Amino acid sequence: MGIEREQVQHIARLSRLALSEEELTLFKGQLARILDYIGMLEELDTSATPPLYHPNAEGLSFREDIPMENGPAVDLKCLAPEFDEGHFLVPSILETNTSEQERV
Amino acid sequence: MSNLPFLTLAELRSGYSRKEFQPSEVIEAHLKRIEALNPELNAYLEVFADGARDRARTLDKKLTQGGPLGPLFGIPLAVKDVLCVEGTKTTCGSKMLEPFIAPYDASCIRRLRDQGAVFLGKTNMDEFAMGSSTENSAFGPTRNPFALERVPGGSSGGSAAAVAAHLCQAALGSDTGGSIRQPAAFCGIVGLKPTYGRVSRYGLVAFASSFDQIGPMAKTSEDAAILFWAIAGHDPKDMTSSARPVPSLEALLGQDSRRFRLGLPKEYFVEGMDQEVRDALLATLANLEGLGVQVEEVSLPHTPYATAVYYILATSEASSNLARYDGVKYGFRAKDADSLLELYELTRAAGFGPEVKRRIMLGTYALSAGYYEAYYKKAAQVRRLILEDFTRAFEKVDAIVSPTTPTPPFLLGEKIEDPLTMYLSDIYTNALNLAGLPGMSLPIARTGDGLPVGMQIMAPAFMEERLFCLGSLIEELTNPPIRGVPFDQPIA
Repeated sequence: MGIEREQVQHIARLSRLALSEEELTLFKGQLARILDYIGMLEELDTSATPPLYHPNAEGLSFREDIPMENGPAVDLKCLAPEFDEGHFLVPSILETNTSEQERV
Repeated sequence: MSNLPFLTLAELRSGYSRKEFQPSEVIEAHLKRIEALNPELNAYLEVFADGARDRARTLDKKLTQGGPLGPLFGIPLAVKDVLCVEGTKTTCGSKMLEPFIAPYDASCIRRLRDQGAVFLGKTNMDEFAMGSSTENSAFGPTRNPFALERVPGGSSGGSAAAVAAHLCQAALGSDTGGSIRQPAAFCGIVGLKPTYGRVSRYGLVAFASSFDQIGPMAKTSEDAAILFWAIAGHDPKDMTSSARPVPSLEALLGQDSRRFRLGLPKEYFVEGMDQEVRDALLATLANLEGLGVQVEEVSLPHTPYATAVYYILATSEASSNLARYDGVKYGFRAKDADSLLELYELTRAAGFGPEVKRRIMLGTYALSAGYYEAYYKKAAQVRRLILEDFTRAFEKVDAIVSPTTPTPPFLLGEKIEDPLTMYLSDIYTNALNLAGLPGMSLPIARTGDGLPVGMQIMAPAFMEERLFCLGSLIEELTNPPIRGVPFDQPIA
């Protein structure tokens, strides 16, 4: 099964990956080959088989809702690339121009 | 050079109890070997030399004072760099996490610490545990101590090489599709993937959450049992961890495996299995039959689909799990981004290596609109068929055996350019992760070139004792024993 260059670009965008032209070409070929291999699953009739998303036969166990000590006090400032006065710093989210900023 | 690093974990334990040596001597002997051999092997990414020495001195005093020693008193361990050890770097072999310092201990680390273990350092791995050769590490490949031009396997290749080269007594790895068992086979040591839910994943950096399990890598089945016993059990911090009680160490090692019925899956004997690997397995089975073990053919008919299912489901889970690396909360951040979207895209483009990008892309594709039913759901349905294959087979036999890998360790660079060929080197291991069942690899032979060959034993859920007991029996038959690189074989 083939995959178009535009599809690879679309997946890269969904994956939040800025790929170079070389990477796009490389991944296009490699993904096509992997998808071709994966295509073997089409041979199987699974219409009566419920999906298995998790191998844990016992199900998930939730903790009792009881108050307890927090985990170690993590200093977020030490972990974050940019941090100031209790906030993670990132580039501006809203695209603004001068006139909009003036209105605000 | 001291012979202390060549002892087994069990021998070290009894040596301590007889006060034949002190923790400081043992730790120092290991640190000396690390200093001498790690530059060549690149098994450790970071060595906690000072911390280990301090800890050993404290334990020395405890030994002198007398009183009960913890089950892992003074045992030097290595830890795959995917597990959080408080206050130390946890890079996952990735540039993305190069600046990350773990703020807490993983649950298994906490347990080992409480039982007296000494951590020597963090070991190399394929980036985010994605790979079968440790060549995908951002910090250079690890070399196989049996043959430096060959890979140690992966993704837990650093841990496997460290155990095999006697740079630690035993180590922790993680196994999502074979990442403990395959490198154990390539490095001539024992590696166990426990039942899904048996060991808490709290503090393990997630790759594919319905597959990942932490497990021991050691020189013997008994050593693996000791380490498994130390880390197994319920943990309220992991909602997938099982509440089932863990058997005692005596029970884990006390079964008579001579009465076992073993299944040999006919679907595993396909094109691509190396002749020496095949011969080694069949010779071991013949020896076991001589002791009364019964061997019969079983069928796991959906085996040929396991790798396809694995690479859809594991990459889908990975694409979701790795979405957290966005350059905001921790880890690496790209410079000069003009917008938040660009910050994400540039950070991830520069922070991840090619295999991680490829798998994120594949998983994103399988989950994307229009493809979810055809890929993700379809694969999850076949996953159930694979589990049902095992359930049916285990109605007839106590354990299933196979080679761990189709070939002995391959050369550095041999498969790295061809992802699909690399994926197929996990062909005998990933079905167990799909089914959540326990499996162990142990060394059974060396090829004419001296390369280790591993055998895989698979058991029903929560029946790890069958693996340890059959493993111990096979070790009795393996002469000379294979416990990593032999004392008299130079490494570098």
